[in-house]
Amino acid sequence: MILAEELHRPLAKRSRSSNSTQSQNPSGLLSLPDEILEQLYLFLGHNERLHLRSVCRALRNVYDSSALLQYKFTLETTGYLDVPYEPSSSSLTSPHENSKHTSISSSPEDLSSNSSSSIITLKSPHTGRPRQTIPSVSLASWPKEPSTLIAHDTVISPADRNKLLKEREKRWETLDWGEKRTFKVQGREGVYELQEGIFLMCDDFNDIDDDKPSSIRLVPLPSMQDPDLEDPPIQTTSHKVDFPISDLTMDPTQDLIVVSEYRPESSDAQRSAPTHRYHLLTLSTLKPHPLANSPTLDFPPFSQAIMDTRQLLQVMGDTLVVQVSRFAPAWVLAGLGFGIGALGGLGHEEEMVAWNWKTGKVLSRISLPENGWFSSFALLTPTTFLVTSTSNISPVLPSETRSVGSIFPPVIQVYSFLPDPNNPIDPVQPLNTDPMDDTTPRPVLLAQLQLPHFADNVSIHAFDVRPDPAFPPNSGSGPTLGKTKPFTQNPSKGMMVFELKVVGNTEDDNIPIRDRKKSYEIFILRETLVKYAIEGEERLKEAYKNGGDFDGLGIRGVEKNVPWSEWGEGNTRFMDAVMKRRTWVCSCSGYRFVSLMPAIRPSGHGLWPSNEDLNLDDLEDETHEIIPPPKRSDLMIFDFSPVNIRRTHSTEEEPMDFMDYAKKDWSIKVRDTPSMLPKGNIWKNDVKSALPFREIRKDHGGLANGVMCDDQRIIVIHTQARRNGDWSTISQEMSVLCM
Amino acid sequence: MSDNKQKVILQTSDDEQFTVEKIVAERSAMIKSMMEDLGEQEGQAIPLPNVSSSVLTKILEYCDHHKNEPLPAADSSDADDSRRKTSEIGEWDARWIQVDQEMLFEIILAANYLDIKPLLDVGCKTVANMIKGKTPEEIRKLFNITNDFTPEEEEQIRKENEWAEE
Repeated sequence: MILAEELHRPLAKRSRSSNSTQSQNPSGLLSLPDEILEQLYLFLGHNERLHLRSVCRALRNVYDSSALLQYKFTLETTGYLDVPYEPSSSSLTSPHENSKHTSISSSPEDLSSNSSSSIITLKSPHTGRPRQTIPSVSLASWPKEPSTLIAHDTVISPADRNKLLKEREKRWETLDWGEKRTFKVQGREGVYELQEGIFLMCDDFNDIDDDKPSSIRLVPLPSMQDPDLEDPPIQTTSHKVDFPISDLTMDPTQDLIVVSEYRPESSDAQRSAPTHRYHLLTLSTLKPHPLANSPTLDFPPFSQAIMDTRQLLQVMGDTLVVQVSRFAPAWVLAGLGFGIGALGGLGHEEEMVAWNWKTGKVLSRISLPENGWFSSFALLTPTTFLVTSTSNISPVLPSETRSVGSIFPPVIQVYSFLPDPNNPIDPVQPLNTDPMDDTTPRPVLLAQLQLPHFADNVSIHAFDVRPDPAFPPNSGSGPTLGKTKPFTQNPSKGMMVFELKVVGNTEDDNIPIRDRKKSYEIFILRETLVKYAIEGEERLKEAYKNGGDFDGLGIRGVEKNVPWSEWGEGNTRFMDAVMKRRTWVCSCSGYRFVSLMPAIRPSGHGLWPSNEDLNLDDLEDETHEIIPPPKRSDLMIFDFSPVNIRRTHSTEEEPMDFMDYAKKDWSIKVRDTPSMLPKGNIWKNDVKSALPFREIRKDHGGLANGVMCDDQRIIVIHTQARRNGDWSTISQEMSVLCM
Repeated sequence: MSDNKQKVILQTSDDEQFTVEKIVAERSAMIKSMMEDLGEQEGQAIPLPNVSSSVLTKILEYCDHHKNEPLPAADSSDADDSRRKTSEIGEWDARWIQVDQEMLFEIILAANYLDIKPLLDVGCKTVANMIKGKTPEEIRKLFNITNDFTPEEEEQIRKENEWAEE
């Protein structure tokens, strides 16, 4: 930042536009040279920097002319963190190889010896070098001219980082994507995941476990900086594993993929087989991760043989958290005379285990209360998480099932698995079936945020949360596929969506089914929840310091119950479910939530949207995920960034009306009036929610039935099955809009 | 260890000479490199035309107290946030830097000139702690700075801060 000549220039003489104060006070703050004042700014927080900048012209000029301070301002106001540049070992030993993304050498010849993969070799039209692509995934024709954008694999100055980030934010502002590439994917999708620009799919469904695939395909997606994927940093081949894949999660910033094997063999004759075995592999090789002490981690065994499972996995830094819900499969329920939606009646088990995936140590284990729906969790910090659960403070234990919302209101619970210094537990592995064994630490409940009160007889069918937290900037040790990123989303900021499905008053036949079943999306800023986690951990540390008065359920004075009236209205936004059926769930990133809306602008058949486009209720089906047919759709972004809302307010122009929108292809609106859900057969009282957001809508110009996004791209999906029900004819066209 | 007992002479702007242990003087990266340039010329004073004797006395106290600590890496970049992570100042340093504003800024200037990075950080942190929690007007009062913005500029800044402040 500081030029060498500036460092050594004499300090006595300095000229500034304003030096009146300097003459009065020659040894004052303003006598310090600009580079020291810049240092001083860097020791201040964001708001304090703005205060100091407001003091006088000289201090403002220092701030405004510092590229580093400008970059930090952009990071702060967009919810990003800098990723410090650290040269990789390969670039140190071989600077010539620096232009390539990684040190992984994988030529097509090497890979073709792998019998489980079939390879098509393509050549880059720009470099003539061979490149690999994935069977049944094909790229559309490439542009003739190579991109001239800066490569990210060298040191980037703060000024350039600032420029890149500001340009990206500007593209999001008006949904004005810079590059567009289209992929085609053939066949039925199984497990899939989108993280850090890597799209993952699983297929090769085996005959025994019909719903369990056994192959992993990684598709690196184009970005503004690398639209044509000259050097994908990962093997783009389909990789077969020798077990059925139940689920997985990945963290490209640590070159980590955690693959869940369903019902593996027991490795020890004395013990029951684990429910799931988690294989810790690298994304680049799909071989055991070098930083993992143990290549696999086992989830506790089943308590009942007939049970089926559903699981959620998340990684944040060294922490891996898995939640497994065990339930009786549909055929068992049917045999017992239960309807398929009647899980609450029969009951199921839910359990979470947190590991340090590097050391293999169990950090905590908890058996969740039975809810009547599947709980869902999200990590808030590497030691805290939230769970969608049922209140444990219900006054009585009635005969009603736990899914009855008026008696057991759903809550967001925040837990910490900070170790108790007074009572260190060294967990014994592998874990026992019994969730109450004394060999594993339990997480401590920090806070319980209540939802508004429900009307009588409302039952809760689903209460889910997404997305996973963003990955913290890599510490610099260990392999990564993200080393070339100049900045990354701040994992403690952004927006979270809770999906709530309720059924009200099923007894009364006079109420139409449409008004009985409701789906809501509840938007909450991640920082709101992180604040409850951090404040709760402060209470917990204090309690541990005072000896930790453990009373069996928690630690006295740590748990905080927050009624809706205390936190809800200003911190949340309730909406009727935006998209009824989501073929793709990766729909939020940072402060943004992307969805498809029926197109407003004319497409040849008139100005107004047709009834058919607006009515999404007709296909509602409880048991099957139906892929809705592709429709002409607009892209809709809900942007909850508090900074963007305030800025739009302060620079607001004439509001656009509907007719303007019909002419233009995009619109932007701030929504800051409260939403009201009237009391009735779902809610006991009127529910007001007022978290402001911006709505950015743009004509996408094509048919679509699915959409995903991450921090750098929107992926519009157009899925079509030629014959109904025949999965093998499904073809998916994915248009990647680079931001 | 005989090397540590070596002495070096420093000459201030007001022509006072200070004889100090080499290990103390080497806290200053600038003096260290000058000594390397001068070689083993015993008795030659190193001129410090930007530092007065009162400030040097104060700074030598600091250098003496910290003389056995490892020197910071020469290439620690300004963009590197790690050294700014803690706003905490060590107990001894905090007591040592309880001086009036004039001396505080003199120390910062001298730390910059002498290239003593940890001392520059202590100085900046001290000023930063004075600024924290204050309004622009309170900062002006604290440092005796005149508000030289035009009303238009002030309105502009107010508007910018309104949306940018957390």
